Amino acid sequence: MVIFMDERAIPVSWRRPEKEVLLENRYKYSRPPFDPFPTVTNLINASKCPVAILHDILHGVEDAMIPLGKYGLGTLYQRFIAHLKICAARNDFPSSSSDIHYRFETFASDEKEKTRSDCWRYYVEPWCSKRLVNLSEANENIFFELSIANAYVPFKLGEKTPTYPLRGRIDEIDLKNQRIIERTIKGKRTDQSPPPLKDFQLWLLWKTLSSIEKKNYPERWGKVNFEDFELIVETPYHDFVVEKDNPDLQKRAHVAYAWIKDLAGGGKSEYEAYQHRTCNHITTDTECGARLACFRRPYKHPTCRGEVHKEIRKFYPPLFWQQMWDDHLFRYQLLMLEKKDLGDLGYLSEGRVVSLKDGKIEMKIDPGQAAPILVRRTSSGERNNLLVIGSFFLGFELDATLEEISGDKFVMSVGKKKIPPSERAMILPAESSILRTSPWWLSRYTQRDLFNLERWGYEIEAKAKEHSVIQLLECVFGTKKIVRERP
Amino acid sequence: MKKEDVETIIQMLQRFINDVEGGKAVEEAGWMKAEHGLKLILEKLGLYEGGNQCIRVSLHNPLPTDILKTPEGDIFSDMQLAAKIREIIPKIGKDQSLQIGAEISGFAYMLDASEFPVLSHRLFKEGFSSLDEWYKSALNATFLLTSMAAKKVCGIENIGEMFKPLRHSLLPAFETKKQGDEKDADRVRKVLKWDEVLETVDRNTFKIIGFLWYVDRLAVLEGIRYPESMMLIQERAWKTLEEKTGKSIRELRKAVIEDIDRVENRTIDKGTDQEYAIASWHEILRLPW
Repeated sequence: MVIFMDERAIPVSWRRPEKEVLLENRYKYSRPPFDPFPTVTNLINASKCPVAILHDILHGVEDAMIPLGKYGLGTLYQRFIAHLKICAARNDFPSSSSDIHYRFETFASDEKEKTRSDCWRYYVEPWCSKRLVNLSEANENIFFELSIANAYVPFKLGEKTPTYPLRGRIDEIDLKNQRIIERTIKGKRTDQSPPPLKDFQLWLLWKTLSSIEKKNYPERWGKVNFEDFELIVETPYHDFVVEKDNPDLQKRAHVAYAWIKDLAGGGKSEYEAYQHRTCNHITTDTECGARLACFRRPYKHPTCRGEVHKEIRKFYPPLFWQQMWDDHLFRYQLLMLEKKDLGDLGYLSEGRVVSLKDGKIEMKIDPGQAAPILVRRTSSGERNNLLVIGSFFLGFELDATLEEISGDKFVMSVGKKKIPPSERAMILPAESSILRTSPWWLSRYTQRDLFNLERWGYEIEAKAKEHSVIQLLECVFGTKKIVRERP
Repeated sequence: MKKEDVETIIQMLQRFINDVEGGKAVEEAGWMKAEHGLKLILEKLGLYEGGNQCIRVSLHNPLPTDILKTPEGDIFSDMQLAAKIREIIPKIGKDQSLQIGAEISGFAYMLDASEFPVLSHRLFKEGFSSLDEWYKSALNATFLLTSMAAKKVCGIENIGEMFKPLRHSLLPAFETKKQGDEKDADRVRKVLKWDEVLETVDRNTFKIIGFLWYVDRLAVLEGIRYPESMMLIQERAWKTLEEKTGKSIRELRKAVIEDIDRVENRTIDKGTDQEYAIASWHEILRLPW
């Protein structure tokens, strides 16, 4: 798949927030004076199809790479394999395929029956049949779900090397065998190459990882050189090695950033995105997660659909700007501000990890540093925190619930996790904290719900006439008069 | 209708839709080699359009119910509506009197569709006691704000006169009856610092956003439902603007955004510890798409 784009559009100059914006000296309102802080998923969507990233930015449609009906399967698959490898690293090897099946059933007992059986049958079982022997390679230096971010990731383009912000999460990193794995449920037995865009996804993660300065690594990883790591896309059937020095991927990244910047900032709109759409009504990509957003039939009723669209569409860009103010700015702040500034803003408390046992982490936090946590707890009863072990550039983000305070010792519940050998712990407000900003994902839900409302309806008039919501829409946006019935 | 005939027409519609979505101009889309059987079916259904030894389903005649019920028929009928608007757009672009009326109407439609997001302290300063009162007054002030804009930016004294050519051509125009209380409208003007805004807004920005919002209004009134049909309209609208201004879409968009940025910067209020943009101008003055 090739996406053509106006060559003048790339490389893109990316606007980061200026100091006064980072320090929140400017009221968070109107169109933000900076560009988004994209995730790897955003870039993949943009690279897959400009309309997919349009739906992502404006309509809150998540990951176009996950086909409809397959949400949750990939997460369960990844979590179980991580669990299996952690067990193997502790010499708890499964004896056979049926032993793994038993472990899987126990592990996934909270999941729905269909999710469990589909995940086993289509993904875990094929994975086991090839890799049971490889489990012996599991070691203590394998880590899962590592969060990475950098506000200045360089991407070459000819003589220039512009930088862009990027953040993402690595499925698996094996420090001993020096490899990074992107695990996916996509792919077939007969495949000769990785599933579309999975190589790009992994390469983007590696680019971000290798752009991080060593001073921002967890202390004991100081000598690791991520540049040398092998990149592997792992499907249930095959392992594919990704070539790192690939100009096509560099170009693809620039084009994806150009779409994100333009669609977020108004430099391009749906007109330009649809001109470059990669499939259409006749050649629909049935695997695309944004398929319904694109091709759902807009039925005849409500008849005032045009008016509904006219009234609703104005909310999409401001709802995205709200996400930028609430979430993207916060991401920039974490990476671009000094820790003191973050502390002054009431976001950051720093501590030292003492122990991690039975899903509980014990930390030492100086009283001066602990103030933001205590303020959140006392003023609004918030016990949830976002705990970062390592650094904001390279570390583990965990949802942590404050359980106990005794002197300078804080105990938080984090669930059974494996974290890197870092003593540095940073405690931030939870994403849902009302003391930080409004929960940004609510804006995304609103975008999605509004978009669904716009597209929803009935074809058959008789049905539409009996449907109260359609009738209400006809009243609010159309010409129907609403009359209260007498009891 | 015979099942085979329906299937044949659907195939022809698919060809049209595929061509259009693949980037072909509407005028060049959907043409097939003129086979005798096909021609007969199209003629029988009143859907024949021929030319250059090729035929296609006519863009101008209504589809039979059996075909309308199919997904392809539904999209095609929507594209037929879009094609109608596509024919109107260049006419407006070429006729100066229609164009001015369309631009002013479009500007008013844009204001009408805005929620006027303004910082609350400005409202209270001007004596508004609630947001409801503000919304009502702001909506009623559309005529005054548009009149002032047309006068300041284009030198037009009486905008009502400008709508007459549109009405004579049976085209929609902004409803001038919609005038609210003058005092209220004046308070809205002060809250928005509208005089300063008009000092900043460029004439071309006024014309571009006005024209595009007018075209958008035509699409809404026609009841266009599919984004693909909407794209056909947008394409023609942007092309018309490109031809008139000699600038690319990219340049036109950029100029409008920069102009609105200037408005936002010029109307900033300085607080004790923070600076405030008095209104979210990108939500008020904006391109429809």
